[in-house]
Amino acid sequence: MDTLERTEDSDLGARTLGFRLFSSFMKKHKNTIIQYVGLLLVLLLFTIWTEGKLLTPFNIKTIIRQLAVLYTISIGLVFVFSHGGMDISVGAVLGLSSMSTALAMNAGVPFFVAVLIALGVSVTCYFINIIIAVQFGLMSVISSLAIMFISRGIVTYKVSTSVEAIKLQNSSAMDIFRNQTFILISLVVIGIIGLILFNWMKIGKQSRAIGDNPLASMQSGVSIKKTKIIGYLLAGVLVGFASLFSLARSSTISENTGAGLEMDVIVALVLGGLALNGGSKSKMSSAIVGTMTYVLLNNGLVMVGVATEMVSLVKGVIFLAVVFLLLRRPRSEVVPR
Amino acid sequence: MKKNKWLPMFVTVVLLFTFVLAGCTGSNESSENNVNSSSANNEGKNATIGVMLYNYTDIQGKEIKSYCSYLEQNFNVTFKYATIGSSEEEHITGLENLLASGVDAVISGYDTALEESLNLADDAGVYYAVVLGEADENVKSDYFVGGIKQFGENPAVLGAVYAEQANQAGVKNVAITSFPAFAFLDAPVIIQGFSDKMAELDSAANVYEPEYHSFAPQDAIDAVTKIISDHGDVDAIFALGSGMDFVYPAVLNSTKSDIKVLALGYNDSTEAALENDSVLMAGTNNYSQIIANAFAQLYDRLNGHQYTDWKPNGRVNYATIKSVQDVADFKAYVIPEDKSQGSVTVDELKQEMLTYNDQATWEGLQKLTSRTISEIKKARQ
Repeated sequence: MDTLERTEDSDLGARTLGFRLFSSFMKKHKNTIIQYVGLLLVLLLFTIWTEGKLLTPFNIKTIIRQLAVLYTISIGLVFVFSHGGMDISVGAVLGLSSMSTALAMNAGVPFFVAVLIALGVSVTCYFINIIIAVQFGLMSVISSLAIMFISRGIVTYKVSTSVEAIKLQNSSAMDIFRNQTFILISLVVIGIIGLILFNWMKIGKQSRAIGDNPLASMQSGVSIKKTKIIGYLLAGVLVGFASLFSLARSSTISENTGAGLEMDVIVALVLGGLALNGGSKSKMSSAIVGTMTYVLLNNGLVMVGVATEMVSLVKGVIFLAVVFLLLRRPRSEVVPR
Repeated sequence: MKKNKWLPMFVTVVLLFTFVLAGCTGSNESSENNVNSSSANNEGKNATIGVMLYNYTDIQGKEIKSYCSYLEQNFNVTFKYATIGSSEEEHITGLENLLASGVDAVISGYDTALEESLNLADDAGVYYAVVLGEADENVKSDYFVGGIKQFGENPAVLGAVYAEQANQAGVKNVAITSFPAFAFLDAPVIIQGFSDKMAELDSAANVYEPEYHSFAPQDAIDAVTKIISDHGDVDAIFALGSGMDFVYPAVLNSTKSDIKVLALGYNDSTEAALENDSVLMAGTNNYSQIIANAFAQLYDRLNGHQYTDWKPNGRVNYATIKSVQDVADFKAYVIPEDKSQGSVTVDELKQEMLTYNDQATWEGLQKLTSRTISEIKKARQ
């Protein structure tokens, strides 16, 4: 009898311990769990709502193609947002980068060189952006505004003064960037590199530290200027790479190329739980989960056939719910700046 | 503890709201299905057509949707709408989403990224039409049913019509505002037609060089300010870039609010503006004709028919409005609530569709969808 009681007590103790561990795990990883649960909920909701059409092979391919540009850019911009930077030039820079590549390819430049041009243009824009910000002490959003106007201005000027529409004369040259396998591999590789750089390398850790408290970071030996420049250069490389996906998707350049992308990226990152003021809570997974959620949301709403006048409202409600769950941080978690 | 209580409450409210919205859509769908089943005796096969526009909230979007509803009630067809942005990426994404949802054909407002759009449509075996503009005739695809000329066969004629109205009103110094030619391809031809006719009607009239502006209301305000500062004697503006929405308010708020406006565009203030003579003429696309033209061709193709005299670009009438009476006619025959009294009725359309009439021709369809308001009025009486 005594032995039985002891066994029951020990079972109860083990269960209580298990519950405590589970509860502490849930508390510790609350934001990450909500992030993935949010994605799963959107996936589940639209799978049921579309009677399984969401997960047909055709639509999965569609979703992967749609992810390419937004996902690549978002991974890059995590390095900018995590240190408290803000970039709204991404759409215009992508447009300029795509246009430069198209013009170069039409001029007979080898494909490999055209790819380098795409990366070069984008990296240059982001380099100028951050140099203006750090050298002149401007807010990064202001310098990115300037870059946005300049890049968009160049594209608009070139498009409006061209006799013919700017489009790839040999569209098949970009076939590699339309190849489903290549896109998928690229997304996986970019995601892994992003995760490694952001979670385990100095650049990620220092970016987050600057986002939390620049002064403390500097006093701890972090070179703020250098970290920010590297962050922007990484973003530039990925925006350049995304411009190739974008060019492959449309083969055409207009004054609207890349328009609105900056807002898509911000919404996707917020949906993924990234606090836009940066800091230690920034996660690379925000870009991965957020872009997937955003693309699924847009795709699902059209597939379901939600009335057009309701689309914004539905998006807004889902956005509010996710933001409320992910970004409402207890005061105790916010490190004083 | 307090927080713990209201967090689940908030989530519950949000989820409830979302499901209510889902329910709303579901009930719409079922009522649409009832409409379709009531017209199940139609000869054409059941089809779903996707529509892609920038928005469905302006008069163009609303009227296009309204005419599509009319078609849904009378043909075995359902329309599915996607709101797209102006960039190529957003256009392609919108198209991909519609294709993934299983549409049989797509009506795109615009010729954005036309070749890549057609590649996608080809791969999915889906017919594709461009309705708010002319399509590049060099672009070939078995699934492309073409574009639509918004300003008739010769846009210069429209410019001349505006010039005649300006001349009748006695204006002497006319400035021109327009969206850039790269975005509004017909603008230079319309402007040329206007200038030539003005010179022909009144050799003393001055037509100033066009002032091109971008796509925001502020750009139109800047253009109007520049015109007033450069040409103090200007007495009218031929406004090609959102004339009623952008340029007319800009003139009213300018330092020379007595400038008359000849507008390409129409909105709710047109009637009052014509009445008080601040607008001499307005005009807009005939939305029903646009959709009727594209729908007839798409539905025929889906039913295995193609016109032998088909051409890549069809045409519709550009409805011009010069008086309050014209506004009344426009409301009665172009944007009536009851589309069976409007520009293209179902019976008229069926007469020009091969699915219902094996004698139908593409040219016959173009004639039907390019009737002027007075011709439509005559047909209804």
